[in-house]
Amino acid sequence: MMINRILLLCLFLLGFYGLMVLKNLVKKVFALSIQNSAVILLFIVEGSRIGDHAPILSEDQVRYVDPIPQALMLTAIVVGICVTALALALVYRLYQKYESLNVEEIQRKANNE
Amino acid sequence: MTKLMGIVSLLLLSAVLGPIIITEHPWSQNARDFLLHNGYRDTGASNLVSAIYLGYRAYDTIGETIVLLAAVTGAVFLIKGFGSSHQAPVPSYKRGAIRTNIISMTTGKLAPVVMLFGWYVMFFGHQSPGGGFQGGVVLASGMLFIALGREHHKRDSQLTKKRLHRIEVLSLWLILLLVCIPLTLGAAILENPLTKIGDSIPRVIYIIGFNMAIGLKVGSGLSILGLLMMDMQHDD
Repeated sequence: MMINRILLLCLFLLGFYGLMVLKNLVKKVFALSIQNSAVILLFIVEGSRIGDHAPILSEDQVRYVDPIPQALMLTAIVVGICVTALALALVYRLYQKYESLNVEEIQRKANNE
Repeated sequence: MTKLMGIVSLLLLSAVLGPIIITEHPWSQNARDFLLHNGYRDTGASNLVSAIYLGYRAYDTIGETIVLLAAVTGAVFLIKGFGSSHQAPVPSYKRGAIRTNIISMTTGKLAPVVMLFGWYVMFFGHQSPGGGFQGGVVLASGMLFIALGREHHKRDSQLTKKRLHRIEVLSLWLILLLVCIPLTLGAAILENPLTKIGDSIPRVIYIIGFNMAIGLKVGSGLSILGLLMMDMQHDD
């Protein structure tokens, strides 16, 4: 399934572009979150190439997907939530101190101090 | 200018990542087949994902719960730790403007159902889709439902961050206890201790205990994070 991968590459690049170009810090955090989602989806797509059933054992032998990428991505999801929450808390602190979410404005105000 | 640089770096990045992502290299089946034949016997969980993250790679799971604890601690410190000396007080008419009786009513009725589902996902994580992390997240969303609807009786609410933090720390202790129990029975650390006793007790009990402890930990941690972000101006 080539189209899946191309779309996932686009999603990752979209997140990267947002992280680089956008000025708003909250939008940057969400761009990071989009990148995280793209990586997670890529692993799930990779693992599902060798089967089409959820990896829960049952009586009849069917082709299961690879459970290892799923277990790894479970970890990645939790860590991604932690990173997003911590980043948002940091943004909140910056907003309290400089009363702006714009990176350039924060930098200018920090330089003036 | 920034946009131009962004587009150039996008092109460069896609040149690097494209061949990695768009590849038709066949995916190895060895790991899947190994787990298919040994997973249930080794851990007692028929959900192979649970068998991995609570059996073969339980060490990762411990680290992951500690990452969660660190993130919650860091967020609490960043939001509340510096003190609220120079933050502008929000006018009272602004707060609660988005909360209506409809929201209180709906969330109040939904929250018990959502939390019951969360406990189900936690308990049956070994044989159906689910597990500690997923159940914990569902549990936390139930808690946040309650928090959304509790506007009118905020003062005497039992749902405080301090209590949730206590639950989180207690469940971390529970996890550490579950890590150490195998040592007393002569098994390696994080090995399923019930394999040493024999078949009289189902092995899956160890997995269920782990799922419950992790679910409590994740649920309370995410509830704390959500409560922190919902009412940042308040000190409970």
